[in-house]
Amino acid sequence: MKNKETIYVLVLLFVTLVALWGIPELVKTATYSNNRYPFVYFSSTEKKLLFKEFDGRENALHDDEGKVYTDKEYDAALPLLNFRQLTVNGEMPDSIDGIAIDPRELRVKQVNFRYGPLNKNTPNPGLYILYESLPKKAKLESPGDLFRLKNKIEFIDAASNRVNKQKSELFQTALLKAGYTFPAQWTSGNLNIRKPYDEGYFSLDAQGQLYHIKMVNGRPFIKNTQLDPQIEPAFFAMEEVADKRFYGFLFDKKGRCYILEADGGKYKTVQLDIDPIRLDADELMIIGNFLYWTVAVQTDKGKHFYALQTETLKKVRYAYIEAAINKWDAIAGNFFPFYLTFKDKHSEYIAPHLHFTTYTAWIANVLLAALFLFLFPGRAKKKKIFDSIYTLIFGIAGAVALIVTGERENKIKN
Amino acid sequence: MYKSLLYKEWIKTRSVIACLAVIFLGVGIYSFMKISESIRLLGIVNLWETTIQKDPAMFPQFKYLPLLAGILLAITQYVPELQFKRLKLTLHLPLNENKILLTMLLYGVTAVLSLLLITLPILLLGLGQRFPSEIVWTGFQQLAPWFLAGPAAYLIAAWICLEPQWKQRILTVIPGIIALSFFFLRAKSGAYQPFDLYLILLVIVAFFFAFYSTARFKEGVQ
Repeated sequence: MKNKETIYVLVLLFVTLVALWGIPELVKTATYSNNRYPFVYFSSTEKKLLFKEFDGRENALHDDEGKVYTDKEYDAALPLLNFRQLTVNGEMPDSIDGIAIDPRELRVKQVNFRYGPLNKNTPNPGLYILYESLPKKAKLESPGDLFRLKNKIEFIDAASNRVNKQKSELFQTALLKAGYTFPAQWTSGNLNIRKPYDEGYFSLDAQGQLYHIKMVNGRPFIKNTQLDPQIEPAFFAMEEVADKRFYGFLFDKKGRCYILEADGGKYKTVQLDIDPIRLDADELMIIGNFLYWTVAVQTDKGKHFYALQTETLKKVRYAYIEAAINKWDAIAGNFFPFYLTFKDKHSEYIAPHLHFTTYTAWIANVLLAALFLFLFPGRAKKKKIFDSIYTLIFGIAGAVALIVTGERENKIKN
Repeated sequence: MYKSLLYKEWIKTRSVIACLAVIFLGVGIYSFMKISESIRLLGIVNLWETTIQKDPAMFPQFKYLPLLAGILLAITQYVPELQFKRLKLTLHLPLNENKILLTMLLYGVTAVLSLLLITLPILLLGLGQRFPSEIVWTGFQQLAPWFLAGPAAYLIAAWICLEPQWKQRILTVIPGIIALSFFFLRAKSGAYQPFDLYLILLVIVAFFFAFYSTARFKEGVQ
């Protein structure tokens, strides 16, 4: 048959690609484990970052200067974290640094926030629910429609599956009147009806201006946040904090993180005093109380811990832990010079990603190439050279593909 | 000669194609019955809100159906060819052997694609009666990799069926199954969007694999 060699190479490349994904994926499943970083929280009494190690390590409880704590000392050093336990034991202090501890304030000033690249790099159906921000009842009620916001705003009535022209025109006019330029770049808000209150959405228009969009008494409330021109919004995460101090967390294109506060009918950003993060790669976690926020930023290389003063968000303490070498990374670095994945931990999207590891992994390929050159006798010299070069390039995946495609040991019937 | 060849393929596969058409029709009706049940139980407003927040599969019943259709059609078309080495007779017809195989493969791919391309717009148009275009688009994005698995499964199964050597056939099954798993990776709706093009490329490349098997058959590999 004509072109048999060409089709063989096509089959070989196909099996190699499958093996470039399949073999490392199997090894990774067998060896990969997450970096077990300690739980870190800033002590408002000791003014140090306290570490709680896992995996039964020695000195499981210690601070950023290496001082080791007993369980009881650890609980006492973190009264704002362990207040329930300390209150039960009658050991809860009345005040810290002269500031009286009010249980209600303790509750409403709590902040728990987590950002990861998956929040940003994820498919979005482009439909949102606009709740009434001043509901007549205690809890939010479903409006019975969804809205789309791209080239214009349109409300689609669920019962009829048709555009509600009146409501759409009302909001379209209000958006244009407020200076909103279509098309929208992105819109962010919390769709969950169980949220404690509603603040609508923040939407970035075509000019890079961030607008606040909500519905108050059935009427549109649209406002340009008039951000500092230095801030180019990249992502916004709505966060319904109990004390309503801020609307949510804003990240700019340089990776700087801010809270967006209400400021007497205007909007104010307060920057978190942390190093910029890579929005497409790093994870950020915030646990805050009424005195300090503990911020953790996890990168591929390690984890940064910051303690910020709640009022000013200025840094008061910092610590860093380097990532341990993962068993999978070590294996990949020794056996796979490159491999293929379709899922990336930084994105929900499926796409082929070629990962290059270390130069030393090529040694494995050289050894395999030598094997294919000198072992397996009975093959033509040309075939030996081809197999050897092929394994040199594609390593284990190439070797497996050569064996699976089986061209080496065909018995031709005469 | 082509007409006769196509007629031979039709004789072999007509009952399976009819069965598959009935199954697709039945599963399609059942899918709409399930959606209708959800509308009655949850209410359309609640269902819309749940759909955009929880991202459920709109037609989960169709997940593996195109894959099974592809495999079944390939088995029906090529297993009889391998029995008593009938393929040898087929390849000895007064036509170029590549053209013979090309006709057979095109027949099978057209049959699978016809089934899928008739079903897809019916499902999406039906969905569009009660859901906005964004959710219909979401439904399409969910179905796209599953439906692409149909022709891919057909072509990979043809490659395996036509392989003359049993040991090699078993070895070929492994990369075949792994490649088909690419169409069923766990992902959110719309996550496959950048990957759909690569899946189409995989289907195009897989079209040539059966030629390799018949070349080996022609050489007398056993």
